[in-house]
Amino acid sequence: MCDSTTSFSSPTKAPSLEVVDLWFRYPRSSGWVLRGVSLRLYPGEVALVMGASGSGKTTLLRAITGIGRWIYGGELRGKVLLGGIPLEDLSLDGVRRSIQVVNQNPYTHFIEHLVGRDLLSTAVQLYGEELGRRVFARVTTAFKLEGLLSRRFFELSGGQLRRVAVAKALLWDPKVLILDEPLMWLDDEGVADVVEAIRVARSLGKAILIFEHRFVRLLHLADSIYVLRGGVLHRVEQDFLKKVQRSLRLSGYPPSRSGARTARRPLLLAKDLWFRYDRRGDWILRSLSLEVTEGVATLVYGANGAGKSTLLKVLSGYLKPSRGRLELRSRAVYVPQNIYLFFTEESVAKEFEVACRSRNLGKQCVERGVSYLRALGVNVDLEESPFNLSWGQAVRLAVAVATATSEGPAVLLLDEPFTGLTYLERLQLAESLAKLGSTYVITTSNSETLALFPSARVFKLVEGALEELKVVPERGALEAAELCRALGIGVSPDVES
Amino acid sequence: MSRARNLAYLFVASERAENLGLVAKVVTPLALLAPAVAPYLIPGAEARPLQAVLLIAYELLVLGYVTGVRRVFRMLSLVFLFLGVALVLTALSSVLGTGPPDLLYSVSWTLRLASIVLALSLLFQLLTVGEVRYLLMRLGLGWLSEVVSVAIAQLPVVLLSFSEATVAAVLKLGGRRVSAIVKPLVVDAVITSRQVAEALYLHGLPPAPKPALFGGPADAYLILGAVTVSVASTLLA
Repeated sequence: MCDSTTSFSSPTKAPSLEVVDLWFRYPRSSGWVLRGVSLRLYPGEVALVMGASGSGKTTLLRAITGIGRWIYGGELRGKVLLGGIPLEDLSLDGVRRSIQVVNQNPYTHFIEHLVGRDLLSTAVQLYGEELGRRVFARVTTAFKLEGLLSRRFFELSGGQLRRVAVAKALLWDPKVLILDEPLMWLDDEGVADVVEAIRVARSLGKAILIFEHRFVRLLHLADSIYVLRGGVLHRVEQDFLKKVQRSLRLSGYPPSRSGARTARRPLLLAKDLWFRYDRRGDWILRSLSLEVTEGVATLVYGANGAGKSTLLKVLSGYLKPSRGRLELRSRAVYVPQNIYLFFTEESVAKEFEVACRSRNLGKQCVERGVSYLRALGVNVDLEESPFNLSWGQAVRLAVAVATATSEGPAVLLLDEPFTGLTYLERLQLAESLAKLGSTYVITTSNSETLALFPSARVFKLVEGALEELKVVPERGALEAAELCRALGIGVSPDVES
Repeated sequence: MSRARNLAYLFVASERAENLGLVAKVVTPLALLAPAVAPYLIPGAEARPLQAVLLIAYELLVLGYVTGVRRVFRMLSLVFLFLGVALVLTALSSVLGTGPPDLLYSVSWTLRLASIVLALSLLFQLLTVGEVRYLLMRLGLGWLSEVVSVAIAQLPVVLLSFSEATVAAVLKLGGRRVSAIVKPLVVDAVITSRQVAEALYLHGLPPAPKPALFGGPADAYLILGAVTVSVASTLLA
């Protein structure tokens, strides 16, 4: 690995983006989040920046675009040049025409509910009625959006939504396109959608900066790769990556799927379940059967929109099945995909207290919860707000709360808990869950995570029914986790490695 | 389709309304809203069930025209939900010894409330976000137009979060503490609003072009019907 920040060699072109010795800190904060970041990006170049949660990726994005200064009131030192012009010399319109961002939550990019109307109004805003319609037609064709234009943005799958957001950003014809965690929430098909969108943007000569910690599917696209650690950007040479990957393969990664499953009593039995939200609606679950056994992990793998969240809500007993039999022999706790929606109190300690009190459990329950939390490797102050925890910490806290408040075995229903985690954090979470020995059903939309649970039963949710996978696709998640370790990405300071 | 998403559709402009002019889109729901709201504002005014039934019937008719029969059934279930709550409250008040209110009184005020909700929903389903912004800008409320546009745009996403938080809280704390969802929703709203501010910084708000004031004969039928129903219901009071 190389610590220099030498640039992509393209001597004939001027850089679209140049960042020189950039320092940034938020108001009322003594510490600098970025410490002397330098970066140069040329037209048609794709740069990938990897880093753990809290490493400063989003802050770098905010500093480069001016959001950090103008919206957050932060202090910035160093230079940001867009097409050779200093950021501070550009008008707001100039900034928008130089740089565009697709942020982590692409829902926030839309004003009109109908996708077509939103894109068209943006194009008309930029180019006037006649030219705007032509640009709109060109962009929608390039990104193959024709089938999505008459749909509402909140109806789209994650991949489709990001594809549209990239197209919307490119309506501005910016020199630089920044994608902040573009693969978040996406299933395998959605990832392919985004990868294709990046290819199209690159073919249009855009300089593309991607911040992502789920990086495996993007490595082959990137011309330059960086790791952001402690506010410092380190360039990673391709040779270094290849060498690490080769050594991992030689040392036997990924390990084969093994692990004994001891037969215990079933905690949840679902037989021939059918579910739909209203009588005239489509069936979400069709003749679905499942047995969840105590102490055994069950993984449900399926595409975005396959009905995984609905399945968990039906299994929890919250939604009543339209037909079929559901037998829940223990308590079920649902942990939503947006993990912060799980928390209801202002401190970690109160989370335990209130949850225990709601079950008429005493002080012992709280103590048990705290000990679970520590066993899961989360050593935060108990007075800390759960909303301030990192994603990985928050998921582990939810698991600790759910487990502590269950007298006897409980079934934890975790909806996409790996979203927002680095490969190493995913591995650590999987190991933590195994250590706790709880019974859990986990939904996931990407096959990368399946290999993290060697002893789990894995099902695929297709057209409302579950089919058990005997051979699980190995997508190199363990290898990627080791790569993270080698690059120093995603080792949270409070997590036992 | 989840219930939260169903609810979200009540506040999203329907594609079938695209051919209507702005005047019909504004006048129709407002004409239906006025007689429903008036008794709340005029002291001593009475609410008769027939008035509200007339208003609701026309509102459902327009909703059927604009959104389809399925949505009408959902709306109808909303009306029955309101009625159910009123009947439960009436029954409870007898049990609690506060004296039961007149049943006809409860039903007529409940139906009136339902007709107000339906008229507001109709307004949302007729007007696009751009049209709302145009109207507010014409009224000299430029700043408010931006806020309202963003709020309407994000409403479906907020409802989805609301649904998720409810499930998590009910299963975690039991059904008695559903109110606990307020805190995570506020935090979620703050995070989302920050992200919206960032997106607006980079995209800005597209201009609100002047929409067509009149669409065609359907406009006239809708307005005429709404005004007739409105006058008839007022005369019934």
